[in-house]
Amino acid sequence: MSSVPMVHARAVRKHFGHLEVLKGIDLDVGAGEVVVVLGPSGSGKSTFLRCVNHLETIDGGAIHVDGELIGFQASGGKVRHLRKKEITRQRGEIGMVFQQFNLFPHMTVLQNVIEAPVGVRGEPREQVRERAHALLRRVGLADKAGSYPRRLSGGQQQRVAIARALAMRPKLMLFDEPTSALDPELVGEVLATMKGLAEDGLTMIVVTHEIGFAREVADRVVFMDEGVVVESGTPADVLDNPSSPRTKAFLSRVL
Amino acid sequence: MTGAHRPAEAGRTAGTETTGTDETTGTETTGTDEMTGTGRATGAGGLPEIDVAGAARTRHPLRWVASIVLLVLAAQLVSLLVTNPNFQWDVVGRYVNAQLIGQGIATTLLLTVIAMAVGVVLGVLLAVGRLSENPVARGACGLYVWFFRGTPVLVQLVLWYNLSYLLPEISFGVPFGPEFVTADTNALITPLLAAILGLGLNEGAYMAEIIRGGLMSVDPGQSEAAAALGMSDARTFRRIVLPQAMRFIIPPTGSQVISMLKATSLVSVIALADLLYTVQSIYNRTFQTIPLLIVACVWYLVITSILYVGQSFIERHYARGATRNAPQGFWAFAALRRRRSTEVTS
Repeated sequence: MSSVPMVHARAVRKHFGHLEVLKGIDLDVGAGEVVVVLGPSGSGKSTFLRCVNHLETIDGGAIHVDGELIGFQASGGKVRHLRKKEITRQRGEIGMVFQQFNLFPHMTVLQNVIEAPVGVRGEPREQVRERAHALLRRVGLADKAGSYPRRLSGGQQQRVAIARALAMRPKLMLFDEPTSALDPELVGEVLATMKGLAEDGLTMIVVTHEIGFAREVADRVVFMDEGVVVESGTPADVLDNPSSPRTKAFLSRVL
Repeated sequence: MTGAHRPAEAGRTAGTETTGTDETTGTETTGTDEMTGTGRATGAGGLPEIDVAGAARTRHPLRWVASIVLLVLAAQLVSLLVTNPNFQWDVVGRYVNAQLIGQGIATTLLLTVIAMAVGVVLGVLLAVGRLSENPVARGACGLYVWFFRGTPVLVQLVLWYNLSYLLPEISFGVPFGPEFVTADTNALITPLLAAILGLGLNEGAYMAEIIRGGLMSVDPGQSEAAAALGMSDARTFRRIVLPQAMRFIIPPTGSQVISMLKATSLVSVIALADLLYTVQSIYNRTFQTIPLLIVACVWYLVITSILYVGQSFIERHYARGATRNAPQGFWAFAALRRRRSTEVTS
């Protein structure tokens, strides 16, 4: 692990109205590390993930990604909100994969992948197109470049979504329950793709209910409940030898 | 009542008879098949083995009755059109290609295009304003829609035309301060400009609601995915949300264009020589009221027909990727039907 962690979250708080969803989250993720976040629904794990790329604005604490404060600017002891332009730049450096894929249905698979690098970063189209084809080969969908997303299975759509996020060459990838909307027989292909990325050294935070994936791929497992991190450690520690009764109760329900 | 009922009943009886005959033949064929095939074997639980592949089609006797009634009505209409001399078809024929009428059509088309363009641009701005996070923009745009939708377009037209009663002069300059340019309202607001303002500003209110509905029908996950990829709000709107909203915006916009084409006829009250005003000015001289109104109707129908075809092409463009199967237009559908029926006969 390098000296500056890729993600450095301190005392992150977030509430929706009177409902406090995050009650002071501390989490460090080192470069190249794969962290799997487990927890019951409503525990705030998805909200935390959405705070990391500022899809949600945090109400307290701070999140740094690669040494850069997310969504805010601190100078001379004063903190203020970043401008929209800066926020979009920060988001472009963090990839995100959603539960519902959210591919753009009016664009082909290839157009989905090249849209952001060409349109946002202004990279030359030919160069991005080549990279996109390489990414589609990597997720096993080289022959689907010209298809529209609705013609693909859920598992294929999610792999396109992964390729689309990777096309921006993100420093960090966030996965928000990437297999929860999939038919059981399609889960494996998506998890296999993610495992490949982990082996290539990509920094990943994965919110999932796939305990098998956590055990096999995660460097660290974080268990969240009711807006706090309850437990954090190696998969063996947290999954086989949980210290908190809340973790034990959760694991007994999902295993 | 009884008279209308009787043929229907007769039709139904005839229909039942046909179905009866058909069913008999159907069963016979199936029977032969079964004999040659598996015989009268019974499946599990003692149920007879049945193959529904050769099932007789359901008959629709009422459709035949309705067709005959409509045919009779249509024949009556045609005979009325041909035999009644008051239609004066020779006059219609003389005027339908007249140059004066052509000028009227040009004005009608020009006005439709410009007023619709104003309406669409305004509509997009108002829709974005009504959906924005800015409460001032939301309120102002809501007020605009409330006012321009809530007053008759005819009144708005006459108001713009008579703006000089309200404001004899129009000036541009610093508000409540010095004025740079001052113009006489009567010279500034020509009938054409009054028509564009009246129709366009009114259309903007309607288009705003149509576009807003279309934008709201797009899954919020789309904007979220675009944001996560680092797209700006403007880019997300242009590349992601609007193209998907178009599928929901185009059909009602098509009917708005057709409404607008006909609404332009209102400008005859402010003496703008559109299609209707032109035919009116002719029949006020010649008293050939009916044939000249027919000329106008023929041209309105021709233009709306062309617009309808254009709309279906645009709809097909924006339907890409929307369904699992390729979108099927009317002609493809008709061709398929024909192919299938030839297959059956051969």
